[in-house]
Order: sequence, then structure tokens, then C-alpha cells
Amino acid sequence: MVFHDPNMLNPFVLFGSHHSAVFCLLTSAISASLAFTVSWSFYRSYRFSGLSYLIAIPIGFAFLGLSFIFEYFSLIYRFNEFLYPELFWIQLILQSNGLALIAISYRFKVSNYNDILSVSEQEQDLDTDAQLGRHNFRFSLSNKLRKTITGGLFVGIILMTVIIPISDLTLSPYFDYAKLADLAVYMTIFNMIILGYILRNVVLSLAEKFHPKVVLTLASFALLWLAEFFVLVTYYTYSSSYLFLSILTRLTGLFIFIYLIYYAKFYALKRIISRIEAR
Amino acid sequence: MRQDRRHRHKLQLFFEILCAIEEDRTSNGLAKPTHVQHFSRLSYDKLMNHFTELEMKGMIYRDDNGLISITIRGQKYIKQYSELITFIDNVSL
Repeated sequence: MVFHDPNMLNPFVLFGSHHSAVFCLLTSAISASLAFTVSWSFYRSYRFSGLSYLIAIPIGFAFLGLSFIFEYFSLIYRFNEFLYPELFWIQLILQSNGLALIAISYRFKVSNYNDILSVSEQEQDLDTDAQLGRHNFRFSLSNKLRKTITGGLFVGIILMTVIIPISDLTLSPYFDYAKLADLAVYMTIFNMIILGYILRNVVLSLAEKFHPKVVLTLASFALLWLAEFFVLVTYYTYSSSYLFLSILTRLTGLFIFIYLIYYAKFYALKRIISRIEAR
Repeated sequence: MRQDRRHRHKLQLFFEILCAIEEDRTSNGLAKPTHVQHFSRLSYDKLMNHFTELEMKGMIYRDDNGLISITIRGQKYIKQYSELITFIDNVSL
């Protein structure tokens, strides 16, 4: 009978010491490169458009990419009592904050993006400042207040993930191994809640206006949610098959994002041609 | 938020104007300001202001007769804008 460490931190140890390092390196490298590619693509969109709410997404995906790198290093240094918990803690924080940042972008997205973009004939001839005044008038105080409160909540949650572990785990000279294992479970649940929030937003916008490619975005976030769920199951069952499922769903979710990026690149030309021909 | 809306509004307008120039150039071989005005549905004065801005940004070129052509930078802008809209639509942002 195999006994498992009740305070398992990095679940990759379940694959056995011979294969875990190679497998972890492979999956972490692929996951990180996918996350960085998505991050770069969103950064380009932000740089081009200057839309401030988009900036949280590239940072979020960059954090995710970094967390996958730390995941690998935490496994490599698993026999080092000093580095292992620290690296694992950094991985947890980066992952949760990355997801929270992505959720922030969804929270602050402009609800009627297309309405604002489709400028009517009359509006185009109006003075820009007059238009802005009208928009600002519509943007009521209660709406602003609500956004400020939820924004504050998000910032609080993000800070909490850093402040609580620092105060709780580092009171002694070293990280408390058992508490860190508990924290890993809580953070996985936190990630699921955050991903659930993003899913809710995507579902709502899908219900508002059906767009076939948004279904893929929904699938991608749903797979990331499932990946977290399988990690949670792994923590309780010590089953490597659940960890394998988690990796598989995570990679599929990220691959869908890459597909959406390249689809946008190719579809852009088609869109321009059809727009010009439609005149 | 205020700045975002102004910015986005302008992004859309530039895209409309550049597409109108491209359309006129494709069908007539060259783009005239009056044709572009018709396609983009803007007042003449506003269109002229946008032309000046687009020219300053290096996205269009106006010759001595007032005929307009899109530069490589302008073509890149059309593609990037279309990519942005497609991407934002796809990821529901």
C-alpha cells in the first residue's frame, strides 16, 4: 500500500520521481508558452486601442504563465526545505492573482461596446464633447458607486491572497508546511470561484447576443474551471489520473484561446473585404 | 472612462474613413474627398480635420490635386482594428 504525504504541495509528485520532472517540465513549458502568447496578444490589443480595462488581461495571463514556471521549479526543488514551500507559495499567489486580474477585465468591460462603436450619422456630426457629456450623464452615479465597490472588493481579495499567507505562514522562520497545504486547497477553491465569475459574465453576454466564437471562450474558461476542480480532487484522492485530467483540460482551455487569437488574425482580412464590398 | 470613449470613438471613425478611401480607390482607381465623405457620412469640415490628423499620423497621403491614398501604415491600421474588434467580440470583452 502506498502512503501519501497528507500535506502534499505540488501534485506532480504523484507521477513518481522518475517521470514527474520530465512530465512537469513539458506541461509547464507548454502551458507557460500558451499563457504568454495569449498575454502578448491581449497586450497588443491594449496598446493599439488604449482601452484601460484590457490591461488587466495581459498581466493576468502573464501571471498565469509565470505560475506554471514556478510550478516546475517547486517540483525540481521539492527536496529543498527552504525553496520548495516558497516556490510553491509564489506559484499559488501568481495563479490566483492572475485569474483575479482576468476577472477584473470582465468586470470593467464596457457593457454596450458595439453600441458605442456604431456611430450614427447624426452623432458623427455632433461635437465630441457634447456626445461625451451625454454618455457621462447616462453613466449614472449609482453605476459608478457599484463599480467602485466591486472594484474595491476585487483589490481586497487580491491583497488578501498575499497578506494572509505572509502573516499566517511566515511567523516562524520557515513556511508552515501543513498550513501551506491547506492554503493550496483554499486557493484552488478561490480560483474556481473567480473562474465561475468569469463564466457567468461570458454566459450573460452570450445570452444578450449569440456569437459562435464566444461559445469557444466559454468552453475555454469552463475547461480552466474543470482543471482547478480536478486539482482539488487530486488533493483529496491522491490520484494521478485526476491530475492528468487537470493538465489535459488546462492545456485544452489555453489552446482554445490560441485558436481564437489566430482566428481573429485570419478573419480580420475577411471582415475588411466584406465590409468594403458591402458598400 | 471618458478618455476611453473618446479614444474608441476615434478608432472607429478612422477605420470608417480608411475603409471609405480603400473602397473608392478600388472602384475608381483613386479616392476623392467628396466620395470619401459620401461613404463615411461625415460633414466636410470634420472629414478634412480627420484627414489632417490621419496625414499627420502617416496613415494617408494627399497629393497636390487633393486625391487621397492609404499608406502602408494606414493599411496596417485597418487590419489591426479589424483584428481587435474580432478578438474582443470572440472573447466577449
